[in-house]
Amino acid sequence: MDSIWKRLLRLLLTMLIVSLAVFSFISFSSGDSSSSVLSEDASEEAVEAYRKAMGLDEPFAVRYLSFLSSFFSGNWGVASDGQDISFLVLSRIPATLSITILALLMSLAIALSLAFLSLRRHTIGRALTTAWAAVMMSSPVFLIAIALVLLLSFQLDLFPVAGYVPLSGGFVRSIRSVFLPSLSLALLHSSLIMLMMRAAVESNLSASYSMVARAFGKGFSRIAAIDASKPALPLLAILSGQSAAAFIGGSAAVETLFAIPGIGSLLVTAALRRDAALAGTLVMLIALSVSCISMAAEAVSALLDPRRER
Amino acid sequence: MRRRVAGLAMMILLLVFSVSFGGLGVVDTSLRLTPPSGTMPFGTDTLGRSLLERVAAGTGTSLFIGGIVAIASFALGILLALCCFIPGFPRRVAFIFADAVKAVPSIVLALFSASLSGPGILSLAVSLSLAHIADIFRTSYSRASAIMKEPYIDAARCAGVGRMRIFITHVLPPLLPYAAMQSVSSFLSAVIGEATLSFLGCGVPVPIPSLGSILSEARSVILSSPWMMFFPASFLLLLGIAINLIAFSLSDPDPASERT
Amino acid sequence: MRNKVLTAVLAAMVAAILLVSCGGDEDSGLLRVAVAQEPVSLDVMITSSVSGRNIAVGNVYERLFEMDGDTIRPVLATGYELSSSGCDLRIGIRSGVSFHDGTLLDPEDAAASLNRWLRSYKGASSITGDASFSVEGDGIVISSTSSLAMLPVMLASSPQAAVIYPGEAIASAADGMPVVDAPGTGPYRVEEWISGSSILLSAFDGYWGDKPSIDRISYEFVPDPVIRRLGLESGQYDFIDNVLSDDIPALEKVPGIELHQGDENGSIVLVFNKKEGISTDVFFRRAVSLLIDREELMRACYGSYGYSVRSAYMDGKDGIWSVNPDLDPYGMENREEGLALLQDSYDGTTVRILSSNLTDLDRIAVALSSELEQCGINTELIILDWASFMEQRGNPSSWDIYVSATGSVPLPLEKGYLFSDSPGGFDDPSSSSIIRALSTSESMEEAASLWQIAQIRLWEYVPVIVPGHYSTVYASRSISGIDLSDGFHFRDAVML
Repeated sequence: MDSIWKRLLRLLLTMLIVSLAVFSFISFSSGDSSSSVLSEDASEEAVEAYRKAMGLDEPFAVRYLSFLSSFFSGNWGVASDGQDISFLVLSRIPATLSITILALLMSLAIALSLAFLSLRRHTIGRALTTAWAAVMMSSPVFLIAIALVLLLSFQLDLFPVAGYVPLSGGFVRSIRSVFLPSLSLALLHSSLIMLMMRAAVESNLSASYSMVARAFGKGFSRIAAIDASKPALPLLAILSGQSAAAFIGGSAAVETLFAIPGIGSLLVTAALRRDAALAGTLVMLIALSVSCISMAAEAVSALLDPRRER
Repeated sequence: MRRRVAGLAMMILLLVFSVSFGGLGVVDTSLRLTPPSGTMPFGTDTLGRSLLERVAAGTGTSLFIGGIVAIASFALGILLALCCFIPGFPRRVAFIFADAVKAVPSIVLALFSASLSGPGILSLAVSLSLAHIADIFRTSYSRASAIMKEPYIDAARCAGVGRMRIFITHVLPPLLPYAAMQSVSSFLSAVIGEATLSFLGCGVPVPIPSLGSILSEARSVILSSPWMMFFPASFLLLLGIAINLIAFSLSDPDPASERT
Repeated sequence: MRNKVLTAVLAAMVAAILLVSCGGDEDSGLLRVAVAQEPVSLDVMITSSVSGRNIAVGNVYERLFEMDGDTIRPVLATGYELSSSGCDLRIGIRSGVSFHDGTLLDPEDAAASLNRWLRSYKGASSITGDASFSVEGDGIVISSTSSLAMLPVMLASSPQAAVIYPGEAIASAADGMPVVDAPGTGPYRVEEWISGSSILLSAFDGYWGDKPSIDRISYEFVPDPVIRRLGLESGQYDFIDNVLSDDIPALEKVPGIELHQGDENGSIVLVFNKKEGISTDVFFRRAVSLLIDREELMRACYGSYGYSVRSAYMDGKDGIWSVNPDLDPYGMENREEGLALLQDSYDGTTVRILSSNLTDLDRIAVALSSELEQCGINTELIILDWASFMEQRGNPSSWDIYVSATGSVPLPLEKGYLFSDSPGGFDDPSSSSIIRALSTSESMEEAASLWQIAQIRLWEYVPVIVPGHYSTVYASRSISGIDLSDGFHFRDAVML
């Protein structure tokens, strides 16, 4: 494994390249933020004044470098609509964090319980869970989300239809407001985790040491639960890391549908409005958190399996 | 093996379906949102076009996009992985670029490629494949480098076997199944990714249908005209089942033969 | 083992019950409104988003005047005086009005605000030219070389609203950038704007006029129309905007829910490229106008409700600007005549139809393309996201017709497509001169009769085609007194 400094250097380089890529993609995409902020019939004068105020008339290199320097100095500047970028971004983090954590817990709960319940081959239960996994993996997340809203929110009135309540508005109310979006994401991701964990546990089950344990008289479910799953825990750590990383930047669809103010939908808005500075800031933060999560997942994975080569 | 055949058969059936019935559909808004009937077996969409034609064409579009992403990620991913063993190839740089590419949101890529060449299915497919190419590149490289450390590789080199032959006969074969499975799952993930891009407004250019864009259009009328969501969702599910059958068959080799 | 499982299941059930039973505390005195779009900015002076206007104008910020039917009613002004020549306008400013930050409104604030408005609003500056407002006593004045009689109407109802901010807020804003968090004079103040989530307004105690009966209003941004509807039906929202026409039959049957249709608030417009390409030929434009089925186009976007097919340019079927649509020689579908005209003017080139994918306008573009193809015209559809659309629209060699919507405006000369510097161009001296004369009319009646003449002339020149006008449909629970004249406002509303 690389030393910690090498990894940090790679992280920094990755962040720089991502921000350069996103900043240039957005800057060189057709259109700019004046069309979203100003009226459609705005005067030429007003458009030029806006472009000048936003610095859109400066050469690309100047804009990118000033973006980098303001990012690393902590003073993140102003978004295309005049709002403070740091305020915008920080205000969106709690919702994204709530969804990420809740979705991850739900994914693990669903995936692991279904994986263990369906270990026996050639039973109806197994066929059902495999079919369920196939359906989940073939559905776009907004489809799952709409089905959940119709069922759990509208028919059964268990959860609000949309909107985000921050923790300050009450813990229970807050959880209820992010329950359906998290569940939509969890149903999607848990299918993959379930399939992979089940395959891993099964391959361990048929390994020789399991046979030895069975020879010693331990029942089938105890073996499965304890012995066969321990070697699969590192894999679980990695899969959890990957899912958490996907939730952080990739939940734009559920956020838009459920009207949750998270990072994903802010990124989509920034891209559609051609706000390069806001998008660049967001991707750097997302890349940073994804890398941290991956590193944490790998560390946990290594800890859980002493056989792994360092 | 049976599963693979079943999966492939399904995909071929879907392809035949899309070619036989596919079309853009004739706009006739006086017929908008009519339920399934004799003349319109799947009903009509918000513009009065035959949903059967649109879903069939959409299946074809999704097959095309998925196919491009799967083939590109498979071929280029493995190619890049093998290139890393050529001396002088900037391997570390490639890694960092791969990590970076995965972090670029697909909407940014889609908007940019649409700006470059005008909105189009091919540019969309290309922008969707980048992240998957990076994925397959990374996993193929780690497997390939594990293989390169094996003693028989050294033996072959000492015996004077050329680098290319080593790649082709020793390194490539074990890489292929896993890469194939990954590219099959990126097929599905690209089709669904395009659906999400359509939801956000940056998917396949209007009026070309894709299963994702029809689903996205159907979203707002799901309560009043549920068939518009039912049919594309069913075909997307069929496509997903076909893909999963193929993927399962590739990933389920006898665990005992797996060399760790 | 079994006990463990059992306890786990019981614990989960208890947790679920707790989760479900807590919460649901309805906040009385709070009106919950679900809107489709979050406004980009509340600086309604330089942005013309309907969302921002609905939330801010009349609630947070106020204009000097307001339209009350067809009359102009003073709000922050005490009245206005037009000199006999019409070239000088004096507006008295109300005293004793406080901003939300406690400072008092004075004529300097009004002058600064209106001058900023003039600088950024083409429609107004086409009336005033280079003139600007200055303070005189307890009011403001503006003098121009031509009649300013049209200015008060514009002050009362322009889409880029002539609202009043404190002078300091304007001075401290960077030139060209939206003003953020400016205090207003209205009956509500912005208590909180949670980006991506909602804007909460609460009643302002120091308001100069009658306090509204509803204490707090929360505008929540819910882009998905199905979720908005479900939220209304389940009681989570009291009012939703932009009800889809396909939902109207079902909502009509739900007890306790009322549907409202606002005044016409805009029209669909197909703009021809009169600078370059095939659309520069007036015969081609007339042919297209005769060949399309306008009902089909409107239905493509609006379904069965919420619009009326009419080729007049101005909104308001019976308003002051209405012109008898039978006078439009090309306003009704007439295939034979259209195909005849087409024969002479069309040479087979591909007609490029440009549209954005915002708010289903692309459906109209698809329907238009299909109509034209059926008549033998080759079309190419270019549907882009908003920013790309705006950029492409500015490049005359890349499109022939674009599809857009224009909001309701107080004066015809505010229709952007009537000017030569618009993306589609405009080159018809006779109608230009009438429109110019309109801007310096000495009375509304004179302006209206000038417009009658102009509209008929424009129908011959066919710079654009207006298939129809739309009015937004809203739905609510028991609320009375909603003002639907310019969007929706709750200042006089009462929750039942």
